[in-house]
Amino acid sequence: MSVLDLPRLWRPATHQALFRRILDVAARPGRIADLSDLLDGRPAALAALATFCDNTQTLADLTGTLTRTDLAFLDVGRAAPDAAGFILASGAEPPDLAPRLGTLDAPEGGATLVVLVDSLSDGPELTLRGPGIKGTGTLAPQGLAPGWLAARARWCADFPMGVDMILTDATRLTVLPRTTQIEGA
Amino acid sequence: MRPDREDWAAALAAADKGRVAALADRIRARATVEPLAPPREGLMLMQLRDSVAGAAFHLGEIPMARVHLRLTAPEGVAEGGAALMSDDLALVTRLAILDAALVADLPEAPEIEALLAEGMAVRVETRAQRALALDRTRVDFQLLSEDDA
Repeated sequence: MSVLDLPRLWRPATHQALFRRILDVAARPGRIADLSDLLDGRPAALAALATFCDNTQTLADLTGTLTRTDLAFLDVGRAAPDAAGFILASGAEPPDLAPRLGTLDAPEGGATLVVLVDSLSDGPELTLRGPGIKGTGTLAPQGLAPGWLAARARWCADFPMGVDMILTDATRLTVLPRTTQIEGA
Repeated sequence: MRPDREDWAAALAAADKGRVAALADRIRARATVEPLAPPREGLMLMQLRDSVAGAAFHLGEIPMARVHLRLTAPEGVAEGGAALMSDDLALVTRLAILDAALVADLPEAPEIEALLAEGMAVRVETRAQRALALDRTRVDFQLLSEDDA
């Protein structure tokens, strides 16, 4: 036993495993990564933020679910939603925000939205097309207000500018990069 | 009487390291310790102000370790922390555990207070030795100019 044991989510080996799984599904939009064996009861959204965020990034938590300890471990700067590099939001309500979209010179400045939904399956079926998807793919998130897809289409209309989305339920996540076209619902 | 809390870490670091470690590990074994921020160790720039113009300057890099945790024992719960000019993260973690144990007034508090008193005495002694060494380097410019004349 070391003098101070870090919670599992914050151990380097866990971060490496999370990064590998998230990278895999980021390359295949709509595919779902099950993180339950790595979370120790913590939400998948926090695991996504733990993987991506550090002290060079900024975060806006619109859900108010992150604790003081979570924020200390994320070691991420806080910012307003229109300035943040990462936004944690609930999918239950249509979005009322204007995220960063990047610029033509620096499209990587577009925000990454981590959106919480009830489930990544058993909802209305969406059809996905774009890079990383052979032909078409499907995704059926439950608890994603329709306004989200309309807003995402608006934000991603001027490619390469836009936002990248990570949809999460309690233990799973999927990545929808700005290149993915979504139809349905 | 307990010294100010801001002096606890430095005082305990000056006390007998073996007894500090043994006491912290004994408390650790019967309590739950949960980090509230990532434990950090590394180099940081020490900023000082010069005594003439008051301008800030960087003296150099110093090793630094910092721990912030919550200690939950049957007798109570408390947050503890320690930040020390040291690269020994295990030592600083143990100091943070003793800090929390003292705040929570655990049964081990008298033992921690004894270590604090020992460490404060060591610090006073060290300070006196440094003052003496510094005093030997004092130069009286008035006398120098008289000698030159």
